[in-house]
Amino acid sequence: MNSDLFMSDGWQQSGRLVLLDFDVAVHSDVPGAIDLIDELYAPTCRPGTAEHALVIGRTFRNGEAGYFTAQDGRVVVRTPAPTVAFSHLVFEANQQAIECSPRLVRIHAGAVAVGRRAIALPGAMGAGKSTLAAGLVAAGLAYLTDEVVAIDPDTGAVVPYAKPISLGVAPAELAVPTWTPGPEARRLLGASGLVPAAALGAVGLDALPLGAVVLPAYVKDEPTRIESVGPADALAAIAAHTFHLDEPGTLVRLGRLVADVPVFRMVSGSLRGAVAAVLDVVGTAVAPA
Amino acid sequence: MTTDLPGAVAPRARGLDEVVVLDGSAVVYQAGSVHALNPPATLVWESCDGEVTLDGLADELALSFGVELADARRDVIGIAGELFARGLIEISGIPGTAGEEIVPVFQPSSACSGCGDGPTYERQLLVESGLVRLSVGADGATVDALGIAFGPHTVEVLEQPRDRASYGEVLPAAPRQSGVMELSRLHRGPDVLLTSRDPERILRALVAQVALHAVAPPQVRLDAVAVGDGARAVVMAAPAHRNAYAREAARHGLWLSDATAIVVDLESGTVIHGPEWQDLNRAPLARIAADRRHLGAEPDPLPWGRMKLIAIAVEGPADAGSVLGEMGGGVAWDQPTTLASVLDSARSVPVRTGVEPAQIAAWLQGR
Repeated sequence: MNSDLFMSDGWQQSGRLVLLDFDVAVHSDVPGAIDLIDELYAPTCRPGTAEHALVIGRTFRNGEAGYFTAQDGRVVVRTPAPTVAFSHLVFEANQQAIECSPRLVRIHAGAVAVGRRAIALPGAMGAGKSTLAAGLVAAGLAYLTDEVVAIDPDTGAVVPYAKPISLGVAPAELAVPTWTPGPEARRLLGASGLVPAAALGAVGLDALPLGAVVLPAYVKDEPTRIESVGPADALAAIAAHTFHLDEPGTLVRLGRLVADVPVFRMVSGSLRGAVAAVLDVVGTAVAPA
Repeated sequence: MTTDLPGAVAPRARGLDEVVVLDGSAVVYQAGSVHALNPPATLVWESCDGEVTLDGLADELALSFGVELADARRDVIGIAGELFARGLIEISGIPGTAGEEIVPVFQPSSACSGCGDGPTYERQLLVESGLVRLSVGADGATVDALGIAFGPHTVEVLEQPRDRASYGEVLPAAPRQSGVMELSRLHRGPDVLLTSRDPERILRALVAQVALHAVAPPQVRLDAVAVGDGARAVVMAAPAHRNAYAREAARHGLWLSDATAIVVDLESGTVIHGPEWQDLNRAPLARIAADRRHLGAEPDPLPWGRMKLIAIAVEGPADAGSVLGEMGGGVAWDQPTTLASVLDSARSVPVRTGVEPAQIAAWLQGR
């Protein structure tokens, strides 16, 4: 990685971010971008030199100024809008974390910690994973991750990945802790709803064994229902939210990881009800580590 | 929808390598989908070894479980039909079920899929370029001509294409009388990559575009065009008004490359324009172009071949960030350009600010 070539005027480099097995630094000549990255990804920052580069820069094409985002030389997007370039950067960081970590079983899920156990919340986009995770953190649990829960098949532990959480427009009943980005950061964030992990409250930075899985589904105005799921249906449901199931052996590894873990399916139209239901079931289902 | 299978068939289970059985229920991953089978379905599925028939299996189960043979047959046939519909069993002799290898064809990236599928094509040609397979949509005569032109790179002609083409050629027939003439176009999905009054230019561009996919290290594909005199060239991001730029370049004795990207060989410091296939047959393409040609001259294109890379021209500051931002995309949907290779290209040749033809002509003349 030729990061020295970006040491010319105006270019800055973030700390080394370890996003699962994706080892990356962000380079940018966009004012405020590196400060924002360092704040959003602070829990993932490690000493040393990164293997990969994500770039968000200013550029000219056909006489017009704009922005671009690149990952290891592959331009992901060129756009006149800084918010679009930044959202692609965040998306690409997560995507590469998934792609570069084939040794881990990766589930499309958020996760929180109850004591020394991880609770995974798998679901499709719009299922309410992030909102539920934030609600549980507001209720006193520790934040582990959003979007990707990666489990080490050798240890059975959820690998720490305290990426920023994307809350979009947070529901009023969710008392999101105040985090006020500066004006340069706001120009990049737009209405993305990205919040640094640390702004939510406690952040879990240790690898934790999986204690339970809750499959949430947000259905407007629906009363909260939560029920235990049998082992085969549970595995099939979690597998449906597992990345790269086509990699040989992934289903079998996943089956071993969740075989003895209590799994619940929940439908809810209320964050308050969903949080209470999860706290209720995990309080009784999760064995102490 | 399930299929009533005959009792005499002997299906074979699919997905045996990716299965977990929990409390007698199998969870199977097969062909991109996860299936949870209840215990009876698991039993039938596991019993499908390619030798026992469904009737034979029903006989065994009736005996083992002490149920009526008719009931066992009804259940086995019903379950097998469901398994067949899900692709979890294959049956020798039934087309499309056993042993067919599916070779993926590259589709345009999702970045250009937001506004529809683009034109529909009468036929498609499957061609191999490097390690990838591409589909090219066009009218019947053009597909025939392309099939001959690509020679051994041609895989097959798809008579009734269902999927979106990797690339497409729209070459309107020449008008019998004077009038407004539709331009010839090169498409990638709904995106128009190039337009020209000269159909030969579009055919050349297609061949060059297909050849781009065969790039291999140390060659690097930049999201750029080459501007040169046939012996020396400068690479730069594609100008917004390509045809107008080509006309201006021609006034300075320069030509513009054909495709949306250009290949640079970093070891030799050369630009590689167009295919390097010795077996390309250009005659059928010339015939198609002659049939469709209409009034209107275009500047000559940059000849195919290797030429010395003089500089990388950027609009922004002459640094690696500008090279990456302006031309780091390449044709990213099969072989992404790496940061190191783009930056190496910026190191190994001068990066200069300025993209006007007059400026580039001066550089090529050593001024």
